[in-house]
Amino acid sequence: MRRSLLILLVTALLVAACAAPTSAPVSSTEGSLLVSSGSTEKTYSVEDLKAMEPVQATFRDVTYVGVPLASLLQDAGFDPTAVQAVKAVAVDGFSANYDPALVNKSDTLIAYARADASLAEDEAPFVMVLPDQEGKLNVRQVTQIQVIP
Amino acid sequence: MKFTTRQLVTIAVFGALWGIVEISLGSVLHAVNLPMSGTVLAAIGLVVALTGRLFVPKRGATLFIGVIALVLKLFSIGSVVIGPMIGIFSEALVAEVILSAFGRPTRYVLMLAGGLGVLWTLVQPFITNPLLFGRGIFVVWLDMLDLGARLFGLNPGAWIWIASILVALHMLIGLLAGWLAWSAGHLLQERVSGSILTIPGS
Repeated sequence: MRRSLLILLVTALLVAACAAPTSAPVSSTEGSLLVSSGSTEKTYSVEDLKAMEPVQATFRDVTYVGVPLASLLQDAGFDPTAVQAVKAVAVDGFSANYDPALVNKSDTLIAYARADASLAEDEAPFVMVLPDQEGKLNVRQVTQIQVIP
Repeated sequence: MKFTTRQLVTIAVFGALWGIVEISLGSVLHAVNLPMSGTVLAAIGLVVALTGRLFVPKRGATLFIGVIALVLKLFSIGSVVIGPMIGIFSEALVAEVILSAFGRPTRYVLMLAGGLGVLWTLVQPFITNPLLFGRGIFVVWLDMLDLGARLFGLNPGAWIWIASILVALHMLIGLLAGWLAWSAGHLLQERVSGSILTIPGS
């Protein structure tokens, strides 16, 4: 019995260790978006994205305004049809990975505003918008787009 | 694979227990976004299923326990249950294959069944994500590396380390689940001796 309790305790400790992930904050200039691969990188501000042609997309009844991810990658010097995957990284280190099919969808946006207002505090400066995809792919507070060529 | 009424009732009880854990704790873990919540649920579920196997040491008993749990999972609060349902069935199937291959359950057989059953939770996304959600295997691999990198504070580039640690961690948790199932089964046997719950041959 005592041995079982000890094993239970060890299991609980293991689970507790897993439950406390080390979230590595991503260093970035406030309000900026770094698009990078190993060798190439380009930084965008909200104003830079506003200067590009705006597109709207809706996720969970909220309409966002932004730039298609594929257009942004093209602007940064990447061929979006040739990437293996793209990773969006949030300010707290959370990340989501996207297939080329998702990257090249016309309604996959990196949004800088809502249609009727600015982004919420927990969304700004940028939010990924992928209509019809699960919530964890719609990363908020995005500061980095990493291209895996 | 013919069960007596008593054995069917025992299977139903343990299946219901696993199902209740999935419905209640599963919803909570999903809501709090706990990393490796599937692994935690698989470990707890397998403790229940393997304990049940001790009381019904017949081929198919663990799989039936899993089937009852996955049917109950249908009543779970939340929208997406097909992934967890496939998970429950696969974990029960993996454990069943191991237990059936070794015949009479021993502590070490239960540990192996638990280890491989929990390890399945690491493998499953590579099968279900492409089939159910159309996600590529490479992206699932990246997700796994990101999870490991966050959990262990490693660089995602250290893929060999991350993959090895994740495999070892899953196996360890599963081995512990098997160990606990053996102890819990015999403890239960002591507590309820004289009632309908008896481990055959003990």
